[in-house]
Amino acid sequence: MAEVIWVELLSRHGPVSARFRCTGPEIRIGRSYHNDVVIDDAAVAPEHLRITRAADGAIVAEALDAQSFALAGERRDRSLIDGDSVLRIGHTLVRVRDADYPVPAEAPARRPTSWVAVSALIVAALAINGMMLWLDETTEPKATRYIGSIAELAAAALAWAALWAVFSRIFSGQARFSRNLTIGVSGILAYSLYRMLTSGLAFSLSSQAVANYAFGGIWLLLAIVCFLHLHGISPTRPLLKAAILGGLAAGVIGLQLANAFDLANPARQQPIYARTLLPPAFRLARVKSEDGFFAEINSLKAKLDSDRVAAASAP
Amino acid sequence: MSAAGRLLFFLVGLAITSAAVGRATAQDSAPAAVPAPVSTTGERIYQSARSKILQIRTVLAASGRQTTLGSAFLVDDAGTAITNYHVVSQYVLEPSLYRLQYLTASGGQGELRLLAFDLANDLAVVRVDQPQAAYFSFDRRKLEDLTKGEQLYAMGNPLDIGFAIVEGTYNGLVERSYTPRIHFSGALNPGMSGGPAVSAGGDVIGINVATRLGGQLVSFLVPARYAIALLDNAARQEPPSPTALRAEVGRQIAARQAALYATLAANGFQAAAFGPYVAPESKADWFTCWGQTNAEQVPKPRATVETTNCTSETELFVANDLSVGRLAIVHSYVRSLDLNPFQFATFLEQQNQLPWFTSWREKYFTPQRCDQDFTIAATPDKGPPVDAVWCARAYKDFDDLYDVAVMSVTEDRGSEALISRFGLQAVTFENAVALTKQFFEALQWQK
Repeated sequence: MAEVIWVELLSRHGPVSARFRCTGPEIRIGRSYHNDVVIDDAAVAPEHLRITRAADGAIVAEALDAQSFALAGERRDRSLIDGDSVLRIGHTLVRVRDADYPVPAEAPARRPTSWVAVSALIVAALAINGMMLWLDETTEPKATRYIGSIAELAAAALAWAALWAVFSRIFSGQARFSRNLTIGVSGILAYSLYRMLTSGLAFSLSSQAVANYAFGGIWLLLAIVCFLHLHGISPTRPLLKAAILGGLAAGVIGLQLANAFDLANPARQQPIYARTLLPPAFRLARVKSEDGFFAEINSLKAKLDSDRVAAASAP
Repeated sequence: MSAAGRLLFFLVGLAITSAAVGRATAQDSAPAAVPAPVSTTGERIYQSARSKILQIRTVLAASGRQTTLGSAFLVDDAGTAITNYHVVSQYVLEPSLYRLQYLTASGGQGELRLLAFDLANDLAVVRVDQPQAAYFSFDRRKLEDLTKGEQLYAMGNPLDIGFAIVEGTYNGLVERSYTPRIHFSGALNPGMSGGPAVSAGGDVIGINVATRLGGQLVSFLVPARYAIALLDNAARQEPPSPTALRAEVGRQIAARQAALYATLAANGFQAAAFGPYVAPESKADWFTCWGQTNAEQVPKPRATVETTNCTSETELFVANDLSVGRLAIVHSYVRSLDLNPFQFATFLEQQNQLPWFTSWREKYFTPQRCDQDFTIAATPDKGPPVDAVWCARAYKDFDDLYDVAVMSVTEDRGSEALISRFGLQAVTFENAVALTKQFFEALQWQK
């Protein structure tokens, strides 16, 4: 057996943690230093496993002495294996591949994140938030207020990106901080624009629906941002990830809606109306006639009376 | 915002409830409790009245422990007595949880029966469980035929420390009060609610009802003629059964409020100018208006707010945690000094709060429902377009009564605006809509 055989030790989540290049008719695996592959696992015997080739060239795994190994959940002491079989001895996962094992064609290399683009995004997010602060300024402008808010925003973006970089480092081996930062800052930018747009629309169109239900978009946006982060960690199973995140977002939105419609919710005692005001020039909605306005008001009576009946029948 | 806060104009009923006991004890142990000298008239009146006044106790039906204390006075030989509605309100609203008891000056005690009550005038008629030999009489001719400065003698059991007589002065009827009240300059204290205030001749002139916190000796009596009317009523009709009491409360609130809103409509509104805007204010004399400005603030504000806050003296006691019947009309004229239109809109946002009467309690009210619209009064060339918010909540226990809060912000220019708000407590839906119409039609501008 002159051919090269690779013995790979796998981490529990799949990636290879160590790889040994072995030649010779027989490869021995165990805890003692006589072996070709030495494993630091107290649950592995000093001489545990032997890898040989059958007459037809197939690879054979054989447990030594009274030992055994697990293959696809079954205890064995001898078995034919191939390059995709994962054996477990003690707590260690072992895979054996010979030099002919086919590898897929190379994937396109990821383009490194452009720091210019990241910087542009950061500047845009800070500029928009700074502008919103200025438009909301009703007292003497103070530099500390702007610097403080911008510092808070920057700290939040950095902390968010760092958190995802840590996850990414743990699960994919690469932190990809700049990519995570890009996603985080894009999220903040999208959130700021979305808030501007919805509050502006609620005012312009004089729409209570936009004002009351705009929160749904914020949860969806959060789900999209989380999806992009997860996709960066590992691009596998995008549909499953999208489904789980979409489901979570839908669940939170549903819960919030249920709360909003729950008559017993003490928060409902507060009046709900859109507080946002913009300069009159931004009002695009047509002025509602007095009759239309009073028709809306009169329609509240039936609702209030049914609330009263519901309250009377509540325990 | 509230101007009332500045003057501490708070009326308090004079029943002692468990919440007030701590206060009572504190005063009890105060070293300066020197009794005022009692004139010989007072001595004579107290001697003759001693057996005619009662202490009323609301007790828990289950344990017999007292929860509210007040006073009452006998008015016939059958044991009929007059007290305040607020002394017996716990029993009226929850007759299965509470019972009424009385205690005489000589130590006798027994159970009380409720015969009738008058929510609007804060009176109740009760009957003790045995006939009484001594009682007060009303001299119907002399009622309120008094002049300012005449001595009156109020009796009751203040702070549960024993029956007492208090000398004070008759000062006519309270001005700007929707509910007629006698202004009595004398020291009424918690526990004296429902006790009689008599003239030197011994005739009942009024019934102790309230005192004003933050004032000195400013106390109030219910004129005796309302007690006579209630007694006549009680004699004519069967006493309500305990299960019908709450419905009767609802009926009386509705009747009182219908009269109040009819008076409000009859008084009409007058136009008040705010910069280029004209807005309505009630002409009724039971509204008190206060002005307020932010111009003195430091640092100097970047927009000025001039607020006129008119609230009505029409509060009606229903329960220890529920008063209804207040009205408010508040106009704020806001003008930018150096804010741009966006900043001015944000400044308006900080001012556009609905009028706030009481905390929004689940116990009595359904959740609020609001309608918000960009609308205009009936005559577009006369009135500015407004962002209008109209919110209402229904009373859970009282049919066809609602609290309504309305706000409008004018939207015709980028550097000045009028925020108008009004609040109506315990109003029928029809009255609320009619008043809103009247209000919005009176909102005008001088272009």
